[in-house]
Amino acid sequence: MIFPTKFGTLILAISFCLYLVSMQSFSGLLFLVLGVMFACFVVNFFRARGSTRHIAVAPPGSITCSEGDRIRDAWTVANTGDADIGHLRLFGPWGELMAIGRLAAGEERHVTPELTFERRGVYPFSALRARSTFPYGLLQHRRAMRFAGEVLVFPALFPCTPPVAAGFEPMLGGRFTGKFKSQTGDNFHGVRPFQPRDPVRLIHWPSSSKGQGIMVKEFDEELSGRVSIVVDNRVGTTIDGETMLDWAARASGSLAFAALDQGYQVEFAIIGADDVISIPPFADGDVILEALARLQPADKQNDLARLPAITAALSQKSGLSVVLTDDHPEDLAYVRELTSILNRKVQVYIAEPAFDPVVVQYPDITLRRYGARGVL
Amino acid sequence: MRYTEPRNLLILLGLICQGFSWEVDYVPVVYAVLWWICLRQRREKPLVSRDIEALLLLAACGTFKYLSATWEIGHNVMIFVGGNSLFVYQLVHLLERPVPRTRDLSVLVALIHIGVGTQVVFDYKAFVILCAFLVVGPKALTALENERYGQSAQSTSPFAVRLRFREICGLALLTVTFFVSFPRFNFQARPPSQLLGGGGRGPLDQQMDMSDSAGDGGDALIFRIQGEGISYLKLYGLDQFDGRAWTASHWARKIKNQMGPENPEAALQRTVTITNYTLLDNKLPVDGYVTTVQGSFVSRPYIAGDGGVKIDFKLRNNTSYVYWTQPVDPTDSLDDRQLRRYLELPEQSEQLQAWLQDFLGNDNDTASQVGRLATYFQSEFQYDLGAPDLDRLNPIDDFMFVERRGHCERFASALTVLLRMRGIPARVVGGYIPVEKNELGEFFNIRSKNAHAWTEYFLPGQGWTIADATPYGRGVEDTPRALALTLFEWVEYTWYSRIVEFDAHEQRALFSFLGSHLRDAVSVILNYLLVILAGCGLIGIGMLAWQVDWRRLLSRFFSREKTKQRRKREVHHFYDRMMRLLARQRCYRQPSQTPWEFLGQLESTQHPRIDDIRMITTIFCDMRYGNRDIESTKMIDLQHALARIRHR
Repeated sequence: MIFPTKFGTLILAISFCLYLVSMQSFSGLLFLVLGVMFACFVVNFFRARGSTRHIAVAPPGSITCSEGDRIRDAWTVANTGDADIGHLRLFGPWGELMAIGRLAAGEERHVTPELTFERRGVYPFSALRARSTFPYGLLQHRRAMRFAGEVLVFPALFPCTPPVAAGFEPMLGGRFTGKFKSQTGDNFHGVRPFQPRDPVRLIHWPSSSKGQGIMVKEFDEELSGRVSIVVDNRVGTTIDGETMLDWAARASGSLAFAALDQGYQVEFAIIGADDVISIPPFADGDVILEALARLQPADKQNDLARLPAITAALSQKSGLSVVLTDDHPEDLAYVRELTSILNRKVQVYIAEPAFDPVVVQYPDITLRRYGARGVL
Repeated sequence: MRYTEPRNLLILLGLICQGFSWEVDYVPVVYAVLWWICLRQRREKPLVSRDIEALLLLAACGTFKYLSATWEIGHNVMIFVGGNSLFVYQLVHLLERPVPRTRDLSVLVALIHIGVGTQVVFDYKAFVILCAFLVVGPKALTALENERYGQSAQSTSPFAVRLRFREICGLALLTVTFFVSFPRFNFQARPPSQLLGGGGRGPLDQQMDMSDSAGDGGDALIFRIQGEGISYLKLYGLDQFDGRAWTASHWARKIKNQMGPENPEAALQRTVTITNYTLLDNKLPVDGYVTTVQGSFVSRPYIAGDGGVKIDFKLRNNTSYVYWTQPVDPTDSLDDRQLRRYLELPEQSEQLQAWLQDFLGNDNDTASQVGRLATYFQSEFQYDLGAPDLDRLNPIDDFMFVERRGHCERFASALTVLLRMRGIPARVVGGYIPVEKNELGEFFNIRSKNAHAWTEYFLPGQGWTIADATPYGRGVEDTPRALALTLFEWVEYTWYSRIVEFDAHEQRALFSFLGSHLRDAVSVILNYLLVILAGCGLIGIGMLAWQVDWRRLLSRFFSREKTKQRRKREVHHFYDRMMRLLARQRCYRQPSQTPWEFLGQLESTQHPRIDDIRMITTIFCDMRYGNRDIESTKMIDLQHALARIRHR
């Protein structure tokens, strides 16, 4: 669809006035001036139409960003026509994506949209709108481009103290040192006499050459713990347009990544979801972020009944962290009862506004608070 | 860099156009200098607030209104006052850094100024301005749009504003298409120029004193005229003679008749473009008997008593009109009053009367008398622009018998007097004679030096007829002009007549011309449709033939042909074998028998393998005489048939 721009409307108005003047003029030269303006309109019509028809937009396979950050993934924009196109603006359901000054014929360019989302979530789109006023800005051609896709907005992460881990096991690259020694590792402990079945490659030749016998290297045992994080998916209260669920998503994501950075193995679960996400240490935790981005509030408001099933699916040796969106005493009691049955350490994270200092403190549960952008 | 910005160049173009409204050539230069100064002194912050800006504009309006009244600027008040006030607006905003709002407005104001320019400039300057606008205008619009995208555009390379040659050509083509085809209307509510005092029928402004000498008229171009068979171009007629000077009587200036609504088919069309109206005033140079005059700015023309065409208003430069005329008007007649007026003459000398009687004798034929007198003057007298003044008391006798030389007015006066003495109604006519022709444009350039005077006499059944007694001198001859000059004049003429004055009437005429030619073209196409289709078919076949791989095709054809020939030989072989087999079975074919006759003979003998024999004979005859091909499966059937015949 083609529309005149504001400037084009003004030019049309002036052209109309000049046309009225021409009726009383004895010179036909005014029509030449009007003709130039007419020619500009015609050229604008065809080239704007061509611009919107020949623009090919290829969004990346997955479009992700974090809350408050720009989209990081570049989109590929190409000119599939034989002539230059330009003065294009692409709009999505949330506003302007990008503006393109000019693309030569056959040129391809990678453009990162100027788009920021303030809240985590999934933002689907089925169509984009392209508008072009190329080249004179007199007429604007609009075209809808059918695209199916979604933007995943991850919760914002913040630095925090990693949750308490448990079930330390030897793991190459682990950050923690065990009391035992091992044949592999990064931290050299010392040498010991060769024993049968020791690999030849472990022989420490400098020591062995001193005449005290064959010595082999030994390393400090590297241990890595396990952390399990369970997120309550009840929506909770709303403050400044943000729900406690949003806060919980940020907090749980931050905790998970802090644990990963510490070298722990992280198991992540959402109450109400069937899957447990298991992330080995130092691995990419984007799958957690994706799960948190897609986190939807639970249908039932006061339902922690699935917590036992979830905790049963988690590693029994891991340190359990439960992120609650509310601080109902019955929830805490329920969690305590569950942890006493499971006989394991539990950390419970409660949202700051929901935290009541007079809430009953249980000795075997560590209560911690989290806010919109931090864990306290 | 700012001096070459397209937007600033467009503003400059607009200012130059507005400067031409002062009708003084140096003002556009002044405006251009002011533009340069303002750009050079540009500041970051706005120079004045919006309120002060509005006050400035009002003050400018008042000032220019006063100036236009004081200096009697001839243009429309809106063009002068409004346009120059906007000029002040442009200068104010050139002094400050442009913001989006002022950028757009300055471009709009520049467009208005350029529109003003087309109303005050019409010659080569207009052409230059329009060409510049064609290039600078789109670039300025593109630059403006670039600036709107500048900050957010995802463009890593500079977005240069370039206008390619083919884009300019495309824009020019669209401009011309619009110029020619967009509907035009003309509503002139008032005449274009000043009303004459007394409505053009006031005090006499033309007279001819034959006793005075004449000088060279000059080379100033007055008008151009185009048409076939253009004769002497009349401006006015003088019918009163006091013995020395000719003047126009009151009756000569009155309206004789108004123009007719339509021109007759037999009328000849002329197109006149006036370039210097001062020598024409309110008179339209025409020839013959005018029937219709048409012109956007020629208001209410009428035919005066002297036969000339006049309007009640002064003409103006760059005005065109079209008129239709007939060389003669058999229906024209003179009543008694007119007859007396055109025969009225002061008493002439006896010497002149005697000479006239002696020269013409008893010749009563009007045309013969006129011819003899004109020939006498042309052969016996001398054309001399610088001839001395004649005797003021008796200029005719002095001219006829003493000086015998002079300019065209003397010859016209003398001939008119002599004709009246013979009772032939006659008058002196002033106007122009077409001499200098532009061969490219088929039009005549009429200059001051082409002014001429001649005699018109009334011939019943023909009307007023031209008689020229002037022997042609050097000044009247057509001197050859340089090709470049001819070309320039043709371009100038075309520019004014086809572009500057292209109006609604011209547009309708063009469309009807195109329409009629299109209809003719369509009828020709229909008449020769078959030929055209055949031609197209041949062309198509030729193009296809050009595309076909002939070698491959021929090889396939020839291979097919070979196969056919081989089969033919085989069938021959089968037939011969069949004949030999039948011969062993004592069935002989006579040399004179044809295969069908032999088959008939075998059928009569009821040969047990007659079906096979029939099949072989049929196939043989088809191939041998019918040049038909058979399928390869038939060859197998032939073999089987032979085998059956063998084992009868």
